[in-house]
Amino acid sequence: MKFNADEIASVIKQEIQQFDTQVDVREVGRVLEVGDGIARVYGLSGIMAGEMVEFPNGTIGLAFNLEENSVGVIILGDYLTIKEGDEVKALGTLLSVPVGDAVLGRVVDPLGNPLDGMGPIQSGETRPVEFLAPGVSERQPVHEPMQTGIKAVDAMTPVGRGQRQLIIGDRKTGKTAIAIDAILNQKNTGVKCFYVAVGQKDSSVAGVVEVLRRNGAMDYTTVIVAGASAPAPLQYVAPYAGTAMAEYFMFNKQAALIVYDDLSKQAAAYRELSLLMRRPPGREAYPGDVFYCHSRLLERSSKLSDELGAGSLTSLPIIETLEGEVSAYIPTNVISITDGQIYLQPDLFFAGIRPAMNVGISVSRVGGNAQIKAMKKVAGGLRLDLASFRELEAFAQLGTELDEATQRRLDRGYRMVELLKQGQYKPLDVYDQILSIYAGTRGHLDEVPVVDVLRWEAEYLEFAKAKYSQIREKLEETKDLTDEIRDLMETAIAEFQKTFVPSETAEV
Amino acid sequence: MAGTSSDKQTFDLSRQRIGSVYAKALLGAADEAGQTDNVLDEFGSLIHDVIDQREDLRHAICGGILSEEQRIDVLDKAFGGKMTPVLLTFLKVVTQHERQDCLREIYAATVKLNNERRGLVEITAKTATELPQELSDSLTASLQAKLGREVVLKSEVDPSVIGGLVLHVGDTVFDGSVANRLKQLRQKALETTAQQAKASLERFTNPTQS
Repeated sequence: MKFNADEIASVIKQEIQQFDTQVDVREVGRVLEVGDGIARVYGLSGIMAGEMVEFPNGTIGLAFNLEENSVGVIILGDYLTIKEGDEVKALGTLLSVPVGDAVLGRVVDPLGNPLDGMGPIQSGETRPVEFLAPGVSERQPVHEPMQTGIKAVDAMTPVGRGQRQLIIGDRKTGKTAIAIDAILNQKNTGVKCFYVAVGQKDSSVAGVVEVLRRNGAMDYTTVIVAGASAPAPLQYVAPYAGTAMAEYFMFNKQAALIVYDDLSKQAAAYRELSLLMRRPPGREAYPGDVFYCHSRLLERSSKLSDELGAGSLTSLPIIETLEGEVSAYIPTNVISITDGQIYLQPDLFFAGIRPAMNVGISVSRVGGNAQIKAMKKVAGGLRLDLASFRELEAFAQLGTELDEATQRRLDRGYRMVELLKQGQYKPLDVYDQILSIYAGTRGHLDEVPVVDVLRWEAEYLEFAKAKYSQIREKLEETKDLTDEIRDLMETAIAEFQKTFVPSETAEV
Repeated sequence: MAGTSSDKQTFDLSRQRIGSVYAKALLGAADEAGQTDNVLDEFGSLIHDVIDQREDLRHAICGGILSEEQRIDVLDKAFGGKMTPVLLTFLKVVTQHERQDCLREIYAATVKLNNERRGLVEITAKTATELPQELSDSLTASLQAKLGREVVLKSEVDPSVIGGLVLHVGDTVFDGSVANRLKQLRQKALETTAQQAKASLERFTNPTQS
């Protein structure tokens, strides 16, 4: 490609000819001190809280603390070239980010600047980063399912569009994996996805982007990155910026899904800059308004009323706990804000149960409303059964002699646990999930050796797709477990059982 | 009487706060004695002609090397009889409270407070070259007409302005400088070129001849 210099020159020339300025009026202050991502500024007497300011090197800041004769500014970007005495200009607007279809498929920083080397984001529209959540009359209850493609989640702790479902667990328990699977499963559903990486290693973010790209999920996903090396103010605003981008789709009658990975790091960044700003520390040295920091963020996820177009924003915040301590400050805060949590446990994870969901304390407060009828019928009671199986299992390990009924419950439990295992990046269609969970809960797997359960499932789904495709068609049509479908499934399973060969080494 | 109200080199918030407290007291005392203008004049000359010029005197008056009695002694000997008694007493009070290092801030705050009381507005005009007297007079007059208040014009020379005029009124800046216009023009040209390139890239590229 060759560039035509004359054309470019003519555009610039035209611009110069038409150039007409008024006197530039601005409010200024002077930097008193700067460091650690914050600056104290003298002057700026008319500035509003949260207003944007600009430093001479072009870096943007936010007025954070308004004091008697100085202003505390958080610097969103490079603070190393700002000097004492620099002039700070108030911009008279609130921080906003570019939104719209132009941001999809991009990797951006919290200010909307591209990080993927694919040129500037050409979007005419922007939205303020801090935006008041929709009120009571603008919402409607969550009723539409947001399929994550993970059997354990969709069956036991279903997520609805507009819901906020917390993913909580220790490090290395597969929290991000669940969120990524949920994003992958939104392919061809029209749900726009946003992955906000706060304080993550840039290498792991690059890994996530690569996975999304390889699975074709980058077409509808935006990744907002404030990595571990980004200054605390950027990490603090990243979730709000991501939400602003996602909200655009919600207010435009579409559905969006946002993942905050993770909010404990954002809380730590907020604590850092609050302490630097000399705000008084509270519990665990977090500032007093750290609850508000998360509640106003998560309240922005909602299902809008039909008058407003019924758009929705679903959020999957992630919280990392230390040694399974869910009663620490930030975890309890976020648990109380969200509509349920998926609790991941390291011992389950290392026992090979992945996703390592602890069904006893994982819950979805929206519950069955966020499931299609067929799933509700198939999986109802599954969570409680599994939870009681866990208790029974612990009891059975004492080596006591068990009666036959208890042994049967145990056998069923082992197989259900096995059935709910699922590989990473392999989201399963909801209708396939119904097929396999139906087989499990109705006891059709009781005779299958435990080690063969997953193979049984894979082969059965294959079989059903090939020979009983009408089951799926009918399910898609009615979304309900009618007698007709049930009979069809029974026959399909019976027929498949005859052909299934258990592996030789397996013991029941 | 109208001098600088702000010293740009140092900003120390706690010292400024101290300065404004002492300034209020000084103005109150000077008003009672009916010598406000005198006191301000002398205070200004003390700062500009003595403390700023002579390092040794600055150490003697503002420093902490001498003891309290010695400092008061120095003040008496140096200024006794030559200075308005109100100001001299005030200086002694300041030095007794060990706040002699804040004299500059006290002076700045006093001038600012006095200007405020009298409805004066202090405006700094920044130009590329020295502002001619008649121009600065007419500028003052027109600003006074615009604002409806008396204006104290302070001019500053900064070659980086290139041309035009930059007015500082408190924290607000009215920037009509050539430098700023060039910056805006550059920004605008960049934006429109990027926009047009996005809209029709073909316009800017020659079809590749092979």
